[in-house]
Amino acid sequence: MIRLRGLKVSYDTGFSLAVDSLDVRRGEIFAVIGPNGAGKTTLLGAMALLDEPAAGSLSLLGRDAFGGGDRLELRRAMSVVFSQPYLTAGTVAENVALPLRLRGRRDPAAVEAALALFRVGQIGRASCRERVLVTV
Amino acid sequence: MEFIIEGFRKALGLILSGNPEIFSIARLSLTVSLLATAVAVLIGVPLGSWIAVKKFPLKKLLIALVNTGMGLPPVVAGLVVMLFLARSGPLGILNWLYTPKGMILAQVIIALPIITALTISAMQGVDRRFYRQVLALGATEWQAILVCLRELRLTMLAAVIAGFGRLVAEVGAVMIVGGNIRHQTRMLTTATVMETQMGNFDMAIAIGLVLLALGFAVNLALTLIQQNRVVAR
Amino acid sequence: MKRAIYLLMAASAALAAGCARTAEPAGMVRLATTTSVRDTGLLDALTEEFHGDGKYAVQAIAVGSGQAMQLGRTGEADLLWVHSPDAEEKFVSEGYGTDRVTFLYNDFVLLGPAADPAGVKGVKTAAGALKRIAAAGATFVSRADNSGTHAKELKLWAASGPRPSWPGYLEAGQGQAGTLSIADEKKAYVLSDRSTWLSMKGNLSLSVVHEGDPALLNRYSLILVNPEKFPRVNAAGARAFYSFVLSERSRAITEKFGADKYGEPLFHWDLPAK
Repeated sequence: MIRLRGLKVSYDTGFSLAVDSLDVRRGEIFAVIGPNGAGKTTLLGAMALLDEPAAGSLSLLGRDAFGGGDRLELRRAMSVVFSQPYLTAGTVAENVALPLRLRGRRDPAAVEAALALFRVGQIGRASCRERVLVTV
Repeated sequence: MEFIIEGFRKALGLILSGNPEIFSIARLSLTVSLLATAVAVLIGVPLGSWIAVKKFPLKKLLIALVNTGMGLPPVVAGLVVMLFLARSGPLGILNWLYTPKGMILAQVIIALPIITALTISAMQGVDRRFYRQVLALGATEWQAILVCLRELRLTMLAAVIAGFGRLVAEVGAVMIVGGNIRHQTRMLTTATVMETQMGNFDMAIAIGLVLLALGFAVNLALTLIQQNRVVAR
Repeated sequence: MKRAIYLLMAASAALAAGCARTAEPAGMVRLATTTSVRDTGLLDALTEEFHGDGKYAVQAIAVGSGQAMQLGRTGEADLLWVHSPDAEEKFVSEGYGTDRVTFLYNDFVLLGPAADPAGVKGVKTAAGALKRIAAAGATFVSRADNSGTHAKELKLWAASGPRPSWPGYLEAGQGQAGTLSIADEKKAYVLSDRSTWLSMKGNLSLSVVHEGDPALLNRYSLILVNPEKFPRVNAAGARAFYSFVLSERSRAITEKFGADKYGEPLFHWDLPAK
């Protein structure tokens, strides 16, 4: 499902990352382990199409991700959880609805469905502005 | 000292009686500066956001240039605009010299570096990781910029109001490009100069008071916004 | 947020529409004239009457005569209303202007502090008075802006030799009103057209120390900027205003102008001029 070949990423700080090949199969849970500064975040950043690599080819869901195709569509097909997540200013509902809004889905039904996933109604109110994100 | 008190007294009389000359001048000043601010925002905010977010060669140089533009003396901007808008100048065909349109152009040029630079600075203050997260949530670059601007909305509002305050107080450019023509291009600032030179201190003080009131209103709005910011966050 | 942006754009558009309506009447005529014509209020009175006809609006740029003629030399103005006869003749002979007509006059007065430290009162000629001021080293404020008044001042100096320079000779570089304010503040001598003097008298502590010398006669002319040299010039509008200023309607306004306020009219009609 994910095929990475010959990735090279470099920052102007001088840091660079080189990965020859990486394959992740459908359903597989793949863990990248390494010391601080090894390039784990950089690798994920390149694969999540958040950063431009200097060289390499990435095939995601059978599509050529680096080769100019629709990066946006591919990016929208992925979910990234950051180690330090941010909230936007706004209510709980607005935060939950943001990814939907970004994809052009404003209908209340979709937002309701998303909120239902989080069982927000049970814990608090969706219109609440006091919120803290807890990662477990 | 007496003539100051006398002038002040007469000035209050002029204002309270709703002197039409003063208020039409005030209306023009507000119109020109508001429009110029609006245009500067429409150009400067997207421009500043783009510069802040994108990586490109000589980025630091460009930002330095924009910051330098903030220090552009308004009267110099006025001179340049006048030379371009003159009939024998490159933009003479527009016939904008000595008209409000010309003054708006000059004021846009003055406000644009300010709005752009403040936008760049505000956007650069946004944590890069936040921006990336919004991208990861499925945003296009411009969508992500808009989300960031929403986060920064109080800062941006303060920048816009500060820009407007600068424009309404400006005298050199609008004098050169506008010509202080009665009923056409006479602004609060240029009228103050003229009335002072003519020794009509009551009019000058009256207009000055209106100008002060405007400046005060601008700063009051700014302060309230910043207080709000402290409370809401 | 988006709503705020739309609101801002709508407001801007509305303001722009309102702004556009007031800024562009039927046709613009650009008149370059002197500060003395504007500061007295005569120009406002006449243009208000002219605007009532609804065809053209006058953009009056009030600068010194020299600067006005400079605007004429680059085709920036459509017509001139100035009072610097020698420069005007040169302007026309060089082909920049046409239809020059001298139609209005008043006179210049020499003003000074009531105490008259240079002892100017009683001197026969204006040139002599200036000479006395220079000799006494008293403070004198000159327009120094190439205006008609400035030209007259220089001509008076030239009558008795090169203009002397002494520390008290100050160059204001601005219009008549501004120059008078400076002279008032410094209790200095200053040359002024009578009309500006009369209209500002209430605000000043200066008084007339010399007047009446025929050399102090001040004549105003209208000149059309040559449209053949500058196609951008609004020739039709210029001629319309030109004819208006020389019309009976304008004469009626001008001859009375200032009479009720100052006891005497500020300008005297003189067409055809001698």
